[in-house]
Amino acid sequence: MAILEVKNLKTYFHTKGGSVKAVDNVSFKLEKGEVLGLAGESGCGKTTTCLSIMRMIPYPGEILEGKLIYDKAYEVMDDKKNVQRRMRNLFKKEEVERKRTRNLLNLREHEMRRIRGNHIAMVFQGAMNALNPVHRVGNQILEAIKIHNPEVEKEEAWESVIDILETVGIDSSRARDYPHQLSGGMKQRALIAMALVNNPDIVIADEPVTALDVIVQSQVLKATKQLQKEFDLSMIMITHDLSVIAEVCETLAIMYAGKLVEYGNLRTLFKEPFHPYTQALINAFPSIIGPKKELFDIGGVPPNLINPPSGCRFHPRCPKVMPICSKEVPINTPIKEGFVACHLYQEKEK
Amino acid sequence: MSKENVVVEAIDLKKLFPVMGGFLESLFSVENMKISFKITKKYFSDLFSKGGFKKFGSLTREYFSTVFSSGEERFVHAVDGLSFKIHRGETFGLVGESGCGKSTTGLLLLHLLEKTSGEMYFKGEDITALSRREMKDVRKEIQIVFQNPYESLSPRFSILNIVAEPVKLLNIMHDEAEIEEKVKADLEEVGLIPAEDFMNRFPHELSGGQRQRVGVARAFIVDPVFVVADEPVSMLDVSIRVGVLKIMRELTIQRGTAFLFITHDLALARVMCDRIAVMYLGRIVEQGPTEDVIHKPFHPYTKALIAAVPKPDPDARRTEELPIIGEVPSGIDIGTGCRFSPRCIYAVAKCNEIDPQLEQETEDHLVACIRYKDIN
Repeated sequence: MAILEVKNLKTYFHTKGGSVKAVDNVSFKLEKGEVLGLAGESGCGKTTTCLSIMRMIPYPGEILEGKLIYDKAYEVMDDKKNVQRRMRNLFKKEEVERKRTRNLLNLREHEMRRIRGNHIAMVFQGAMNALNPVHRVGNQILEAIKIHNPEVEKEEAWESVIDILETVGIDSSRARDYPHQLSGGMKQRALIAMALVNNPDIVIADEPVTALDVIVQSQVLKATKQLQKEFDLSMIMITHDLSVIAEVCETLAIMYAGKLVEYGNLRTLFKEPFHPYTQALINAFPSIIGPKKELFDIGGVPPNLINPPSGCRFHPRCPKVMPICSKEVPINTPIKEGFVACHLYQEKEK
Repeated sequence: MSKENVVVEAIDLKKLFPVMGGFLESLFSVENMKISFKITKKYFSDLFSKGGFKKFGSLTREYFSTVFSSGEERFVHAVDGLSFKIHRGETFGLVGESGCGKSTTGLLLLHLLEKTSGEMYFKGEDITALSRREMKDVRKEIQIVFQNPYESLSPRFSILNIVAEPVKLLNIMHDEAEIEEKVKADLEEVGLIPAEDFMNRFPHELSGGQRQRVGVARAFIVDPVFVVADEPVSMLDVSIRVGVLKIMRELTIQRGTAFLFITHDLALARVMCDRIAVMYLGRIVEQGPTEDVIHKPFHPYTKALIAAVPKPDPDARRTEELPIIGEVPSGIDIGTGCRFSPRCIYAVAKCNEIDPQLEQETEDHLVACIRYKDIN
């Protein structure tokens, strides 16, 4: 049973020049205990997808359509008696089948706050900037506890701060340090601690190791893997670095220009990528193992999302482009444990 | 299978060099280069008097005391006794974590930072103590590509002016029409086609990859024999990165330019470089032909670094601990002995006493470790 289900999510940013279709019809499922890697170039909508799940899209962005199915959404509603009535208002035309709502998009803002950090937590990009420089690291984690459980005693909360810091591999004596006293790797660990402190079901990590050096990166990834196993966390890991995904994830989702182009088991996709974009992306990565190979140049630039290319959005850069590609939007064709959105495989289906 | 490949490549290279004759001639050499930065309490109090931290109110004093607790002068030895040679036409990689002094080295070579001590030779001539004016002549042959294409191009200059600037400043050409012709040819070579479209645009109108191509074009317009590339693609996206790298590679091969390729990414260094040097806290700890260093590392730090590089292959996941302890210490006041010893899993008492120098393991594979024979 999937813990989180994203269905036909559409998030647009309404700018003066037109609507930027940052996330366009994205659907995927996250199982309990699964680590999903979301990869793609910058500006392809990875971060926007995850901010949409957290419902933290800044102005002028808007979630136009879609469903974010999360089972515990009902628990955080404060007027459970009125759910039935609210449901009727929301789904006037639909028949109300279930007694409770599970869609995060139906929550009110103050209800959504109970989800953030408590049920779904996020590790933000850029360890260097995500912590407040004028507050002690421990106090910043304490704040996360206090907000969700105001009645907890301070001493008790401080103990859990120390606990969680030690779990992620930071010595408890560092809890009273300011962020500048910590190294980059420790700051990143502190951010992970902050996300984990309320025992969330889902952790979304946005480029958690991008700014770190290889050795530190490797240590943080290892810690992340261990924690994920220990807490049986479901994780979404956003990164542009396929090698990082290869190290930690089980499922791989490739995004291009606001759409998911391929989704499936990591090992299968690395061995046998279906979508030409995935193939190109994997071949563009230098590897330190195996025989030395030439890097593959995808060529071209990512498209402008105000007026994305017609049909398949990758067709202007695709090495295997066909006449149909610029005319029709490819539908998701099921492949081994996943899907691919490409006309090459649609043909075969027919 | 991969090991066999390596052997073949190594033999090929050795066979190739004598045939190419003067190829192995040393183009740029650096001997015992050092640079240290002095930091004093005064530096921080100056920052305060300018009001940098004022707005944090009562927190200020506490914050300040943790930044700088001791009163005396201290030194950061960013580059500490660095020696290497770059041959004509080769790509030499400097690899290391941030703060190891690789970028500082790049700037030192171009006299963009003044060294504390050491010597530099370019084409056999001593360029250590050249004046600014004399350095101008050398800059016709040594150029640099900067890391960040979003900051290294002046937003007020058109692409034409950016690329033409070195030619004008170094008094290579004077005729405007001739310069424009040259810029056009240069832009086309880096793949900005049609060049006329780009010449009158401004940096903000270009994408990151196009900007870095402009950066490459600017370095290559004076036909340099030696180019320092300081993390040229670290700010670019994967799909764009390869295009820029390919162009740099083609230009080096076509024109026989030597490259100092500074990067933190070993996998990238493997693709680009003929030889690499691994740096740790201002020193080279290992140096040799790229495939040798990557497949047969001798120094414990190199071993850890290679083990830490994430592999784009789910079957090659690393399960064991990294062979390294802790994190990089600060470069302030490094003690005697091997500077890697506090993090080295093979360290013995002797490591804290003897400062290891680069030794030849094979003809061109150097390593600075007193125990490398015992641990390999």
